[in-house]
Amino acid sequence: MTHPSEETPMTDVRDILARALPDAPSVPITRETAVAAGRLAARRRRSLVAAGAAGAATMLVIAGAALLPGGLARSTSAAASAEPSGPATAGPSADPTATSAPSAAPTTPEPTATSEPTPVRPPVMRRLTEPRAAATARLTADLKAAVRPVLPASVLRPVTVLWTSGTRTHRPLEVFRIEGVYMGLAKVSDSQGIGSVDFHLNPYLGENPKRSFAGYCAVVLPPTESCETRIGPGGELITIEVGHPSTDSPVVEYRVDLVKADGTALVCVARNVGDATDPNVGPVQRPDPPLTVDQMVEILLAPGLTLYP
Amino acid sequence: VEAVRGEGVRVRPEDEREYGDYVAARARRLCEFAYLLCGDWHAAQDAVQTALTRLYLAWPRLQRREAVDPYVRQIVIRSVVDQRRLARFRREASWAQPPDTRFTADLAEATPDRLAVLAALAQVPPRQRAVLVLRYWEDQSVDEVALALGCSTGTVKSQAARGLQTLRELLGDEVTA
Repeated sequence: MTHPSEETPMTDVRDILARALPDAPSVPITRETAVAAGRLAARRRRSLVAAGAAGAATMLVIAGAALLPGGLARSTSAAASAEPSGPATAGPSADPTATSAPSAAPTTPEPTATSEPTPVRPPVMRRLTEPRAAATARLTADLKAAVRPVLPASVLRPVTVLWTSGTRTHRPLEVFRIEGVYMGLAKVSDSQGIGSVDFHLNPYLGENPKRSFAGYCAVVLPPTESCETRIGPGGELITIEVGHPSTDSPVVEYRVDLVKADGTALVCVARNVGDATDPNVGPVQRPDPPLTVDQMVEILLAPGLTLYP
Repeated sequence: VEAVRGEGVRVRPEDEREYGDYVAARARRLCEFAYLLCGDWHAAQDAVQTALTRLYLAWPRLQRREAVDPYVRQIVIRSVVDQRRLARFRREASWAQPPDTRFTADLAEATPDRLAVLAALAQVPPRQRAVLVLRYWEDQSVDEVALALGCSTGTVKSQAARGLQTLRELLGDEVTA
C-alpha cells in the first residue's frame, strides 16, 4: 500500500465525505432565525455595555452582588468589555490579556476593585515531566484535600464510566489519566439528593474558544444560560457557565474553566444528577448541583492542582 | 450610559439584508461542513448557529466579504473540535448506555455504506479530520488550511497524510491517491 500523497487532491475522498452526509436533513437555520439570533445577541451586548458603564460610574464598588440560588454571582461587566474579532481584524481569537475586570461577589476569592489582579497569558502545551504514577497519587491527595473541606457533610461515591475501551469504576476523586488528561470523578450524596462532580486537568485545551477569553461571554446561547469571566488572584483566567447539558435537558450544569499561570487548564463540572442512566437527560436527583460555582472556583484555585509542580 | 450604549453592535438594514443573503445561501453547506467534522447533525447545527451569530455581530466591521467564509469556518472548527475534545469530560459516552439518542436516530435510517464511512471518519482524530474536510470537501489549499487551523503547511500535509492513511486502512482500496 502506498502512502497517500497529500499533494495530490483526491476526488474520491470528496466522494467518501459526501457519502457520510445524511440524506437531505432539515436545516432549521434560516435567514429569519439567524437574524433574530443576531439581533438578540446584539441587544444583549448593548445592555451589557450599558450595565458596564453604569457599574464604572459607581466606581466598581458593588458589594453583595446578587447570587443565584445555585450560588452563581452574575457578572455583567465581564462579558461587556470585549468585541469578538472579525475577519477584517484579528480573527476570532482575541488577545486573552485584553479581558474584563473581575466581578465583585462576596464569596469569591478574587480581590476587590482596589487590588485588581492582572490576567496572565499562560504558556501553551508545556511538556509534562512528572511520571504518571507520581502525578496521579499527588493529584488525588491534593484534590481530596481541596474538596473535603468544601463538602464536609457529603458522602462521595464511586462513578462507573463506559469508556470506549470498556467500563471502569473510579473511586471518588481518585485521579486517573486517560489520553493525556488527568481526571477525578465523584457522585456526591447529601441531604438534598445525589449529584455529580467531575474534575479535569489538561496541559492544553486545544482549539478552545476560551483562549479568546475576553470575548468568550459576549454571546450566550442555549443551552448556556449565563456566562461570566473572572481573573483569579494569581492572574488565572476563569470562565463560569451555568446552563444545561443540552437545550432540552432538565439537568442543571455548572461549569468552571480555569487556566493557571503555569499553563494547567482545569475544568470542573457539577450536575444535579448522579445515578441516572443518561447524565444529559436525568431525571434530576437534587434541586441544584452539589457545588456552587464559587466553591468550584475555590477548589480549582488550590495550589496543588497543577500539572507542573 | 447612552453614550456607551452607542458602542454596542448596531447592524444597518442594508448590512442585515446582506447578512441574511449570506445565511440563506450558505447555511446548509456550513451545516454539512460541521457535520463532517463532528458526525452529529445537531451539534453541527449548534456550531453553525453560534458561528453565524458571531458573524452577525462582526458584520458591520467586515471590510472584505471574501473573508467571511474562512471566518465562519474557523469558528465552526474551533467550536466542534473543542466540543469533541471535551466530550469525554462531558461524559456523553458515560454510564451504562451511550446516551445520545439524537445521533442514534440520525443513524437509524443510515445505509450500511454510510455507516461504514462514518465509522471510518470517527477513527480519524479531530485535527486530521478537520484537515481532510477543509482540504477535500471545502477545496482549500494547503496554505488556506494552515491559516484556518493556525498551524504550518508542513503540519497540514502530515496531518492529511495520516488521516488519509487511516481512511485507507479502514475503507480499503477505494481511498486512492
